[in-house]
Parts: sequence; C-alpha cells; structure tokens
Amino acid sequence: MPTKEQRERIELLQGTLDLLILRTLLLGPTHGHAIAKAIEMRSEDVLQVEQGSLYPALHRLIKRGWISVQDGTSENNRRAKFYRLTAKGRRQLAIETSKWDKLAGAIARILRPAEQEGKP
Amino acid sequence: MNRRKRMMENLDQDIRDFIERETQDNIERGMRPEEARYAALRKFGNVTRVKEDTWGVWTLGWLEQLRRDLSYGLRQLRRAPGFTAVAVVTLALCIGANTAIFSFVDAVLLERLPYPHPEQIVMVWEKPPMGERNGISTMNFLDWKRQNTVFTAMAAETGGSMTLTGGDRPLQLQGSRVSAPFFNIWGVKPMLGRTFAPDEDQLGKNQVVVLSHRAWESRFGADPKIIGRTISLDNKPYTVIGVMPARTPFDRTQNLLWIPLAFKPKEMTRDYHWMISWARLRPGVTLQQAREQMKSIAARIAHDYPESNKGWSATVDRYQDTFVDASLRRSLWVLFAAVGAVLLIGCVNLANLLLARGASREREVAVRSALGASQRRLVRQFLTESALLSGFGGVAGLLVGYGLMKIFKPWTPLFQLPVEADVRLNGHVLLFAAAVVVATGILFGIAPAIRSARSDLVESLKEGGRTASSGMGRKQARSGLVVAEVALAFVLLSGAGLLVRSFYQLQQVDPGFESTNVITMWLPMTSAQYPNGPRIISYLDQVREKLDGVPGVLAAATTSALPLEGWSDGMPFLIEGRPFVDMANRPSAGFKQVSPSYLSSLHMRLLKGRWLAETDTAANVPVMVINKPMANRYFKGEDPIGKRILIQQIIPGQPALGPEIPWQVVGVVAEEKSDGLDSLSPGMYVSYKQSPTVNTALVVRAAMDSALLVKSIQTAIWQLNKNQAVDDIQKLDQIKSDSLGPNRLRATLLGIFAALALLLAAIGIYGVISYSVAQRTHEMGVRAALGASRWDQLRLVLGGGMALTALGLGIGVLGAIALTSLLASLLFGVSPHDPWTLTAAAVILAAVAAAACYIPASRAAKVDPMVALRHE
Repeated sequence: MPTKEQRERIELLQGTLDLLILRTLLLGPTHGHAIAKAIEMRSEDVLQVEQGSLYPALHRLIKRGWISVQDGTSENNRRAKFYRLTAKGRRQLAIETSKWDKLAGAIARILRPAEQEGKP
Repeated sequence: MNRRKRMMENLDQDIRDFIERETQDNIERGMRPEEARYAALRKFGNVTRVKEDTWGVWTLGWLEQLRRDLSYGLRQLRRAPGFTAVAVVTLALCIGANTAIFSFVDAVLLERLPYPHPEQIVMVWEKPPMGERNGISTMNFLDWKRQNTVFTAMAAETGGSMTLTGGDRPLQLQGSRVSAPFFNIWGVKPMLGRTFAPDEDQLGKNQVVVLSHRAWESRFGADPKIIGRTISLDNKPYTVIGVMPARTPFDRTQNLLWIPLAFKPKEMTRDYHWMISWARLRPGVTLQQAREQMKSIAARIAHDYPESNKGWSATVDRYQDTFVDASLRRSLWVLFAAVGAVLLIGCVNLANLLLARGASREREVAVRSALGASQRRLVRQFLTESALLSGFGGVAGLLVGYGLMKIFKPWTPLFQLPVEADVRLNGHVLLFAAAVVVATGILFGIAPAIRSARSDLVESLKEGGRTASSGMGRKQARSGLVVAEVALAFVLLSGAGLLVRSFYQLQQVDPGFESTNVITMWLPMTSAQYPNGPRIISYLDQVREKLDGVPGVLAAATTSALPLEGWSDGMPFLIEGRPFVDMANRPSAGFKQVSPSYLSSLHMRLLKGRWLAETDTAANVPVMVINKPMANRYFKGEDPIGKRILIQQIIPGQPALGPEIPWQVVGVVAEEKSDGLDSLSPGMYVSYKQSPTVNTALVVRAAMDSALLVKSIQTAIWQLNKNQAVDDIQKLDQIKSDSLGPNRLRATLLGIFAALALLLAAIGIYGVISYSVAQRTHEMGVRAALGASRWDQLRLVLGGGMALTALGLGIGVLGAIALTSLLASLLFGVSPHDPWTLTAAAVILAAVAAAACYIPASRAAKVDPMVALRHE
C-alpha cells in the first residue's frame, strides 16, 4: 500500500531510472526487488519505480554491458538473480552522474535565477 | 539468439522472486497471505507487458543492428559502384546459369512422376536369349495378362499413326493403339469425356478415340462439344470419347490420339514382337515378386511354344527407374556440376575482390575495433555486406535464370526430355536459388570477413602510409584462390573441349550417304487399303513413276525406314550351310525394304557385287544386299556374295511372319548409318518388290534446294491419290543434324559454361596481379631506379602470375583426369584423357592468364622511379 498521497509521487524519466539503478548497484550487487525498494526508500517514497519499466531498464543495462546478472543467494538463503555493476558501468555511472549534475544545475539556474543572485 | 533466450528465462525467475518478496513484505505489514499476494500482483502490474517490453529490449536491438548494418552496407556498396557492378553481374550470371540448369535437373531427375503411386507402374518386356529387353508379341502378352496375379492391370501399346480425312487435305496424326486399361495404369483422368471402358479393346467396340489436348486444340479448334463427334481415321468412323488435359505428360507426348488396341485374328501371333507393355503392381506386391512370377509364366510359355519362345523370358522394370535415358541423366548431372563449378569460380572471384577491398578498408576496421567493435560484430558487418551483394545478385540471377531456361528449353531436341518433365521455375527451383544465394553470400563472404576482422590493430594503425595488406597471410590467401579457380576452369575447359571434339568427330563420321539436297517424307498407307503384296507393289511403282516425272527430281526412292532413323525391322536370320539354330535363338540384324533407286538417291557406295535391280521381282530369285558391318561380323574371311540367308517372310500389314525365304546375297554396300552416327549396325536391304510393306517413306534427291520441290512432289502424289497423307516432310540434312542434337546441346552448353569459367578466371587473375602491382609500385620504383629494365619488370610480374597459373593448371590436370572419365559414356571417338584436348585447354588457359597478367605487368614496367618513390 502506498504510504504517500498519489499526487506527491513523481514518475521517473527514462534514462533517469538507468542512472538510479547504477547508483543503487554501486553499493553492491542485489536483486530486482531490492533495487526497486532501495530507490523508493532513499527517495523517501517520492520516486515510484514502475515494475513495467524496471525490468526493461535492467535488461537494457545488461545489453550495454553496464551491469551483469548472476545467480546468487539472498539474506534469507533464497536463490535470486543478482545484478552487479560492471567496470564499464562504474565508468558510465560517473559520466551519467556528472551529466546529471550539469543538467540539474542548469535547470535549477533557469528556474530560480533570483535566489542565486539575491541571497548571500 | 541464445543469449536472448537465457535472459528471458532469467526474467521469469526474477519476476517470480519479486512477487514473492513483495508478498512477504506485505505480510510483514500485517496483511493476510492471500491479500498480500493479491496486492503484490497488483503492484507489479501486467506481467506479460513487462515481459514483452523486456523482450523488446533485446529484439529491437537486434533488428536495429541489422538495419544499421544494411544501411551501412548499402552505403559502402554505393561508394564502390565498379566493384558492386562486377560482383552483381558475376553473381547474376552464375546464379542464373545454376537456376536454369537446376530447373531441368529438377523437372527430369528430382520431381516425382506426376501419377498416383508411380512406384507401382512397371514396364514388362520380353527377354530374348541374347539381350534384356525386346518388344512383345500378341499371344505372349495375352498369356501374361491372363496368368499373372501380381498386376492390377496390364496394357499393351503399339504405334498407331492414322490419317485424318474430312478436311481439305488428308492429315497424318501420330497416335498409339493401347489396351483398354492403359489410362487406368497411369491413373489419369481426361479433361473432357472419358477414357476407354474395359470392353472397348474388343473388336466391334473399338471405334472410339481419345484426343490429346494439343490435337483437340490444333485440329479441332478446341471444340467444347467434341465428345460424341465422329471423325474419320484411316477411312473408318471413330467416335471421340475423351480429351486429355493440357500441361500433363499426355499433352507433351508425340501422340495426338489414342485408339483401343483390339487384336484382329491375324494379329494373334507369338513370333512377331510389335508392342510394348505397361502394368500396375498390385499394392503390397514387390518388384521382385512380380519379376519372379513373370519369369515363371514366361518359362511355361517357352516350354509350351519352343518354336517361338525357347530361351525367352520376361523383364520387369519399374518405370520411374527407367523413364530417364541414361545419357540424358548423365548429361544433366555433368552440366549441373559444370554450372556449380562456374558458381564456385564466381565465388572465388568475389572472395578475392572482397579481400582486396578488405585490404583497402583495413584502416576503417582498425578504427572501428579501436572504438570497441568486437570481432564478431565486424564479421557480422562484413557478412551483411556480402549477403547484400548476393541478394542483389540473386534477384538479378533469378531473372537471368528464367531467361536462360526459356532459351534452353526450345534448344532441347524435340521429345528428348521425358514427357513427365515439366520444366519451369517452380517452388523447388526458387528454393534452390534462394539456397544458392545464401550459400554464395557465406561462401565468398566468410573468408574475407574473418580475415578483415582479424587484421592486426596495432600494425595497421602504425604502418604509416602503406597498409599491412601486403602482409604474407592475405597475399597467400588471394594466391590460393587464384590457383583454385585456374584449376576449376581447367577442368571445365577440358570437359567442354572433350565434348566439342567428340561432336566434331561425330560430324566427321561418314554416314554412308550424301544428305545435301535430299528431302524425305512419310507416305502413311493402311493395310485396309493395301491388303496384299501386289496392291502395295503396284501403288509404289506408280508413286515412283509419278515422282520421276517431277521436274527437278534427280532420283526418287521408297524405303521402309529413313537413314539415321533405325531399321524398319530386326529380323532373326540363319545363314544357309551353317549349324542349325532354333528359330527363337537366331541372331538378328536390321532389315529394310527399299526401291532399287535407293542407292542412287542417297549416293550410297556399293563395295562389292551388285545392287538391287528393277528386275528383282516376285517372279525371280529373292536377292539382298548386306552392309559392311554385316559382312564383317557374319562373313569373316568369307565372300558373302552368293551365300543364302534364311529369313522368315514379313507378311504385309500384319504382325505376322510367314515361311522362310532364302535370300541370296548379291552385293555389299558401305554402311548407311541407321542407329545414329556413333553406332555400327549390321543390316540387309531387299527390294519392296520381293518383300512388300506398307511402311513407306520417300527419299528424293533434287537438282536444287530440295525444299523447293515439296509442293510439286505433294501435287504429284495427290494427282495419283487424293487421300494420301504426306507426313513429316524433312530435309535429310535436318535429320542428320537432329540426330546430333543432344551432342550439340551438351557441347554448346558446356562450352558456354567453360567460356564463362575462363572469363571469370581471367578476371580473377587480372585482379590479383594488378592489385599486387599497385601494392608494389614503391618496390618497382626502387628496382627501376637501381637499373632494372622494362623487360625485367615485366618478367617479374608476369612470372608471378604465370607461376600461380602453372600451379593451378597442375592441380587442374589431376582434377581433369579424375573427373573427365565421368564423361566417357558421352564421348565418341575421343578418350576422356585425350592428351590433345587437355593440352589445348592448358594452352588456352595459359594464354588467357598471360593476357590477364600482361596488362598490369606493362603498367608496372612503365613505373617512373621518381613517381613511385614519391608515392610514399
């Protein structure tokens, strides 16, 4: 059950999800459910991961060679598919992160020009 | 593909896992298990949709990659129009030739016979004491038919050419007389009406006729109400009961009509072998069982009627095993192998071209792999390009193939292909062409693709201006390909050379007659109109007299069989004074009844004694002239003149033999070729006045082009008898040339393919040598600067090219010696390893190769050292 009101939730842009998945996996390999949970929790439930887009995104990343998938055993001894960041993915994450920072900064400058100039 | 599948399996497992975990979470949040699972499923959403989207990640990418490869490939091809054109034309010719020949191979050798259960259809022959297959006699056939239990039906067939009257002019229609179950054996249905009822091969009920579609169209204006119409054949009324369908074996046969074979009392003989027979095996009966039963029936007949049947047995052949003539089968396979070889040479050429292109694209490959393209990826890109080429070549090739098939089809001598063969571009042929396209794409693409993709990254980027392609590996690969194509071209060239030589030898054979200005035609006569000897003799006398009066006729003769068209009969004989042999076990030889003017009409040569004279009539001693093979075989070291040969009398107009006649040999003639220019057949000539027959053909020697006489000859004959059909008018030159038809066609086709192979090999050599010259411009410049003469330069390049050619020729000679023996049965007067032909092929190939090398060599010789050195 959703814990926040529906309208406060934001759907992710394509590409952004890729970035978040990569970032999540930076903490270590984990399975699909945990990835979705982690993104939702760390965004304090603002970001909602649509399962409809999670799996295609994971596979897209596998295909690009940014992450890999392996069989593994999870905390309560259950077998699961573990996704793991590859070296290439790690590099890509750095690129994507800096791109994102630039983009976010630029958008912020456009949206809040006064704040930047006015306040000390 | 595999990876995609694995990934989708992963996904399934992952989704299950996800839902379980979510359910678990929900339970921890305090939901009841069912509720928790339901909520988890709802949260996950549409599983199928997720799967589809994920599948799409993989699939779309794959298609996308292909699309990109294709458009990149197209751009590459467009950028090199010369290369593309050469490649597509080469492929179009090779694939076209293969498709065309395959359409014949398929129709003749591969297609199932177009009859229900064709494996049950058999031919049954009499087996003479010395031989395997012989025509069958009425009484033997009837005994077989009554006594056998292995066939569901049995039918006899014999020629039944008939004169159709009722139009402006009498018209001769080729036909067959067949027993009533004939059409049931084939299991075919008529297009209109019906075929014969079981009792219609009984006398009195047999005045019915089935027409072929061709006859119905050409002779009866495709009259839809033809069934029930009465037509006059040989002056007797016949009711049309059926028309066979178009585009079936029954439309492709020579026969225009079928009438029932009802035996007249005088045809009830056992010693006159005038029919063939067909039968359908009873389901479950094996060929072996049928053979055994027929043998035991034949043994019983031989025991009961030793006079005619002693030593005779029966032979049963499955029709599907025998309907394709052995030499046609062999010719088709040879031609098919030849076009296959041409295709191989074409592929080798293209592989060479691609290798050369690969060399010039080395830098591109290096850059792409430096940017992270995997080797697999590059191979795929190159293969896509070659597949594009073979695709274009294939489409063009299909058009070429269709055209070639349309051209070749009328070239096949009339009625040489089995009637069952329906040559066209059907599904099989298209499938074959598609397979060839794919195979060629891979064949000429794979080696260059792998080579190009594997090129050493560091080397090709490092080595300043020059690329690494002059490296040993690639050069060896290209040289190897040239050697292979020279070898293949040599095998083809020698094969074609042998066939051409054999064709030439056949043309040089002395046929024993002069064919220029001689016209021939058949005069069909029925035994109803000419029931006995005197009637026939007086009619033929009148015909000859009429013809002699036609201005322009130098000599006119009648004969029971035309030159090169066989003997009218094969007669068992016994030479008087030799040990007695049973009637059924005597050797037989060709027998012809001719007019005394036959010798002069054909310009045959008398070797000994005298020829038949006008005075050799029924009232005088029966005399015959034998041919040289007969004299050689049966009168070795003896003078045949004056010897007497005993032969049973041929009773005119019926399949029966009379008492023995002692024919006195009065002369020996040079062999007039009867069974084809390549065969030797012993034979005997007698005068129609001493052995009358209704089988009558005319041989007329004209003072000018014999075609000009046709009208006046016809007029003269119709003045004598307006109901006399004049059939099958042909120049003797034409008959002679037609008899060589299959040989000519084989030689021509193989010649064309060999020429194509030669051309392709020349292009291949030219390409390799000129490429290596271009690569060595720098070296040439240095040599020139150091004082090498033009001749030195020329020799260097020519030497390189010719060394490859020599190696190819060496391998080719071995190949030719191994393979040309397959041609042995198709050759005449030349050994399959004829040294002259092989030498000629080698000389031609070497000359062409030298010419192909000379162009780039002379370019190398002209290299200006300054320019070449500045080339860096």
